[in-house]
This record gives sequence, C-alpha cells and structure tokens, in this order.
Amino acid sequence: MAIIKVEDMHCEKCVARITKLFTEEGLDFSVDLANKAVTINGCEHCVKTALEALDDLGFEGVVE
Amino acid sequence: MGGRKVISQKYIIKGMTCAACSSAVERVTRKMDGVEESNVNLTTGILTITYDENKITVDDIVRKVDRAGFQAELFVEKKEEDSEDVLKKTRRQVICNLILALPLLYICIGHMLPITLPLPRFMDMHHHPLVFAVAQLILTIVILINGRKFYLVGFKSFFKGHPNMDSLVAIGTGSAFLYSLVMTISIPIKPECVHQLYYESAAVVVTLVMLGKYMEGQSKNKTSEAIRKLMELAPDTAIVLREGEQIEIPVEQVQVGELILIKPGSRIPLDGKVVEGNTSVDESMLTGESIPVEKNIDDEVIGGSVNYHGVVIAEVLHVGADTTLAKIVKMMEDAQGKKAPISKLADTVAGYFVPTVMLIAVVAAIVWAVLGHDIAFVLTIFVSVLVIACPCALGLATPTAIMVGTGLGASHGILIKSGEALEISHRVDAVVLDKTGTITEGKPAVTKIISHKLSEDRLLQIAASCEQVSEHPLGQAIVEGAKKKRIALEKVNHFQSITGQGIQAKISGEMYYIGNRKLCEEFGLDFFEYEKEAVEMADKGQTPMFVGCKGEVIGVVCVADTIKETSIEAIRNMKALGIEVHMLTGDNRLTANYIGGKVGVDHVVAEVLPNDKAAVIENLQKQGKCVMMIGDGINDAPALVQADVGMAIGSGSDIALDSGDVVLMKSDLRDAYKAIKLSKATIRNIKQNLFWAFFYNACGLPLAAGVLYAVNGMLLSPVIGGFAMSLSSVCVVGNALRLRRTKLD
Repeated sequence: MAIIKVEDMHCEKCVARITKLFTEEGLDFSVDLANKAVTINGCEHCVKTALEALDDLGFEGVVE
Repeated sequence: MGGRKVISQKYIIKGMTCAACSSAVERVTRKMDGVEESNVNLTTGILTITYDENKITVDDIVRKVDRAGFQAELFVEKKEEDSEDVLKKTRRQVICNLILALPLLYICIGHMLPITLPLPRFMDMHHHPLVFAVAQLILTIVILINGRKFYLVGFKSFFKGHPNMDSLVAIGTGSAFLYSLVMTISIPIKPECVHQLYYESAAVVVTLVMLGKYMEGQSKNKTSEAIRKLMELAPDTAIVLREGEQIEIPVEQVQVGELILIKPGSRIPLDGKVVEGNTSVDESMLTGESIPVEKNIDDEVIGGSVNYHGVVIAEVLHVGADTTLAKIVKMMEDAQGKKAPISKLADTVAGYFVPTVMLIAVVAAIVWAVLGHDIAFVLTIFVSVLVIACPCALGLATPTAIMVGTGLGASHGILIKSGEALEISHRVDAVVLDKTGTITEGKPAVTKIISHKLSEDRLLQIAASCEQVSEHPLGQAIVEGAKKKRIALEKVNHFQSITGQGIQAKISGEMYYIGNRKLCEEFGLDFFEYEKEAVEMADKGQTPMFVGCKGEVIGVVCVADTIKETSIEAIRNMKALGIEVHMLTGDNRLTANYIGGKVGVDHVVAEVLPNDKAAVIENLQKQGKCVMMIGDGINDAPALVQADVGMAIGSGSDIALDSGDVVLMKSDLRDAYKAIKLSKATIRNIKQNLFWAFFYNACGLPLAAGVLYAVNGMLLSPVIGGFAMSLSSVCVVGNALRLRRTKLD
C-alpha cells in the first residue's frame, strides 16, 4: 500500500477525474479529498502507473 | 522535414469547475512536445494554445485533454470575424467590377446612343468585329470571375429545387454569356453575329447585384462587441481573506467557499453570499432595477454589480462559468447561434420567377421545334428567354429601399443597425417591453408627499435640505423633486448616512431623520399615524420614506420610478396595429401589475430572474410569434439577441446598445412604433421595386419567346434588353427615393 499526496486536488471534479482514469488503468485505489491524498493498494508497478496517470491528469503526485 | 510551423488555436474545454481544473489543463498541454504556450481562461472556458504543427496535431491535443478528464473541442473563430474579411473582399471585387464595367459599357453601348461615342478604329465593330467582341469578352470574364459566388451558390440551390435570387442571376447571366461566347466564335464565319452580344448585360447584372449585396452586408450586428464589454464588467482581481490576511489575486484563482472582501465603491468580483457587514448595492446594470438593493448577512450579491457604502465580506458561491455574468455571456452566444436566417423577399420572388421562366423557355422552344424550325433557332429562343429573365435592377430593389429607409429612420432618431431588422419588423406580432428604463424613466422621482401637519412643500423642503449632500439615488430624487418645485434649501450640518436605513441631519438646529421603517424603530420615531398610508403606497410599487423629528414621524415622501409620458401612447398605438404587448420585469408581481395596468399592456411577466428573459422570448417564438424585444439593461442583452428584432433604448447600457439591432436614440417608446411603421413602408417599397425590376424584362419575355417573329420576324435584340435594363434601374431607384417622404407619425 502506498499513499500519494496530490496537493492540487481541490474539488469533487478533481476526485472524479482521478477516479475515472485510475479505474481505466485498472488500479485498486481510494481517493481522499480532505487529506489531498490517493491510496494505492498493490505492487510497485501500480504506483508507477498511478504517478504517470496523475501526470496525465495535470497533477503532481508525491509518494509518501 | 522542414522546420517549425507554429500556429495558434483556441479550444473550448468542457467540464472545468475550479482553478485547479484550468491549471491542470494548462499543465498537461504545456508538457506536450511542440507546445510553446498554453493558457486557459476559466471564465470563458477557452484554451489558447500555440504549438508547432509539425510536431503535434489537433487530435493529439484533444486526446491529451480528454485523458485528463475534460472535453476539448476546436473552437472555430466567430463567424463575424469571417464576415469582416468577406466584406472587405467583396468590397474589392465590387470596386474592381465597377471599374471594368465602365469601359465595357462604353464599348458596347457607345454606338447605340443618339450621339455615337468614338471608339478606336482597331476595335470598331464594323471594321474589326472580332476585336470588338473579344475586348468585351475579356472584360466580362474578369467580372464574372469576381462574381463567381453567384454561380456556385445559385446553381447549387437551383439543383436542390429551391431557386433563389442567386439562381436567377446565375441562369440569366450564364446563358447571356454563353450565348455571346458562341456568337463571338461565329464572327469569323458570320460577321453579323457581332450584333448578338449580351456581354454587358451579364456583366452589369452581376456587378449591380454584387453592389446591392455589399450595401446590405455593411450593416451588421455587433454582438461580439457586447460580449466583450460584458466580460469587462467583472473586475480582474479580488481581495481574498486567507488565514486572516488580505491578498489581491486574479479572480480565476479564487475558489468557491473562499471569503472575499468587497470595498465601498468597487465592483463585486464574483457571486457570493454576505457573511459579514451590510451595504447597499447597485444592481441596475444586471437587473435593471434603479433603486439600490440593501444587502445584509445571508443575502446574495452578484458579480459585476457595484457596492455603494459598506464594507462587506462575502463567501464565494460561484466562479468561472457558473457566475451570473458568465451565464449571461453564454446565453448571448447561444441566442446568437439559434437565430434563424430570415427569408429575403427577393429570394422568395425569385423562387417563383425562376421555374416560371424555365417553363416559358421550354414551352417556347418546344413550340418552335414542333413548328419545324432548326435546332439553332430553337436554341436561340430558349437562351433569349433566359437572358431577358434576369433584371439587373433586381439587385438594387432591396438595398436601395433599405438604405433610404435606414436614412429616414436615422432622421427620426431611430438607428437601424441591420437591414434585416428593417425587413423583419413589419412582421412583428408580439412586443416584449422591459419595465425599468424602457416603460419607466429608470430613475426614481418624488411621486407623493403625505403630511398631516405640515404643507407638502414644507415637508419636501425639510427632506430635500437634509438629503442635499446624500449620494443615495433616493435622496437625490428628493432633492431633484424640490428643485423642480423651485423650493429653496436650508443649510444642513451633522449629516450622517446610516447604511440600510436612511440618514440623519441637522437643519436650523433641529435633528431630522429620513429613512425606512427600520430607521424609525432604531431611533424610536412613532410612525403609527402614517403606517397605513405607507403600506398602501408600497403596494403600488412606491418606496415610502419616513421623515421624523423629536420622536415622531411628521410625514412621508414617496419615491418611485415613474412611467414615461410617451409610453402609454406608444403601447396604445402598437395594440392598434394588432400587436400583443408584454411587459417583462424582475420586480415583484404587485408593482408589476400596478404599472402594467396603468400603461395597458396585454400581459405582465413579473419576477423574472435576470438570466431568464431570453427564455421568455424563446417561448413566444415557439408559439410562432415574431417577437420584438425592447430593453435597456445588461440583463436584457440576451433577450435582445434572442428576439427577432432587438431594440435598445438609447439611454441604456452600452452592452444593450451593442446587442440591439435597432437603437432608439431619444429613449422614446413611440419611436418603436414608428420603426414598425417604417418597416411596413420599406417592405411595401421593396415590393414595388421588385415589380418595377421585373416589369420591363417581363415585357421582353414574349419577344424573346418569339411571339413577334411570326408577325414581323422580330426577335429579342441587345437594344431591347439594354433598354429594359436601364428603364427598370431608373424606376427602382426613383421609387426607393420616394420612400423618403413617408410620414411615420
């Protein structure tokens, strides 16, 4: 399990965008708007995929 | 592969709600290889991007933005900018054609005139017929190439089965040109063919019709200008309270739920809800209501309106595309797109004329063929009919009448910005009037003075003396009222305004209070004696202001937006024309019904939200009505664009003026009635013009069909064609000028 901080996540729209793309990428995850963080369940490879997806969404993700 | 090819494009981005969204779009696009610059305007939802076309494509950008969770669509620049270019191009072509048409006319008509104009010997028709013909051919080809649009559009609609004016021009001039071309080729064998040239006919028709279209195209609606001004209404920056600090940041970066500080005298940057302080706000630009609105905690304020006195803190409710202002902009753009093109009278006439002419041509050709004439003769007959069919005054019929009509309107203070508006106004069967500023003055004035002890003038003197330094529109109305009655004002001191309640001031050593009920309660003024009258006046849409002194109310001054004297007459006149008159207002139903009843409108639509006016118009249009909207405020702008004819009151906001098709410079509703009458007169004139345009040419039709051939061997000749053309042009221009003498009163 890895937690990725996404500082630029502001609104429900941001959450919806992340949810959509992550689902498409087949990730197992949960988004937490209050803490501006995404939790990824799974392998090393999944975190890499998630970071790339965040990049495509216009976010900068930092692994904690 | 060769170098860079940098282009700049705009995309409409859908799905953005906050500043994080717009910066996300910027970020993903900026990362693409080849993108040099990328900026998103959250308010308009438009991405402006500069990139190297050799490296990425439109598809790449759309896909990239799509992946980020938004929808991107290439934004096609507004039609209006296109039409500007088209207009410039047409202008060049028209001038070019006029210059070419002159020598052409000189060459071919010079020898037909009573005094023969000299031609150089090398192109004399008797000695060198071929040079004579080819010179005309060359000039004509250039003219026809300039007017190629008629052929492209005209033949297309002809084959689709909806012939219009362009089809008529294309068929008439096309056959004239082809016929002349065949004659020119035959000259070396049969020199007398030189007498059968119709080049100038084709060229003059094309040139005049182009000139007419150009004159019509010149007047156009400036909706895009109105939209630009609307967007400038909202300030670029807002003062945000973050962790107790005031920071001024661009409005694009403000987020919903943040607190913004609004200073007195400034424009409110975004829609919000007051959480601290109270003030009065001028929302007239947006709602059309002239009297400032009091704002207390939990009241909503609209971005773009002006804050008067108090300092307030508001919680932001909407940003970007969700603000009231942005919605109005959006509605204007939508309304503009929804406008159905009107069918022009000339096109309708051509729609009947073209099939008729074709039929005559075919029947004549068949008859002569049956009578045993050779194919050359039959073809000559067929083509002659088509040649004479297209009158050159056709292109002048509509624009000349519209130009004269527009000029006549201008001399009455009615500024008509688009010829189309003049062409449709006569069909109007529903007029929608905005209340404030259109039917009424749009400015409060003293309407009634009530006092049980003092004389009316004395009470007004006291009130006006106290209010003379006030900046509040209601106070100014009282001062204005005293001035009108030539009442001298007393010296005032200790003036103080109490936000949301009224004022207090001292004259002749006595403290007076003027304001609403709340003020009376606050300062312990007994208003029992006047309460009933005050409520009565309030029901009639007036604002009662209590004047108090020494613990009791001594009188009431009522202020209200008054009806323009001319409005009642104008509405009566419109109804006499069989038009149904609607009144539209954001005001409460009580006031609306009172005013509506007084001016005698058929329907009152009250409590309309600022951005619902266009919907009211659309509803009427769906019932099959041709709607004219008359208004003055920014909130009327979308409705003005939506309506078939939008009329703006001259004293109104710039944005309304830009959105309307017609501007009533004198702000007098009677001019709207005059405009309808002017339109009726203009349409009548256009119909007469069309008659004269077709008349002489129609006379030539039997001749072309060969009716007289059986009698004396006479067929259509260029002389007859030219004669018919000049006569029709003179009649049309003369008839259009007659329109100037129309009485509009």
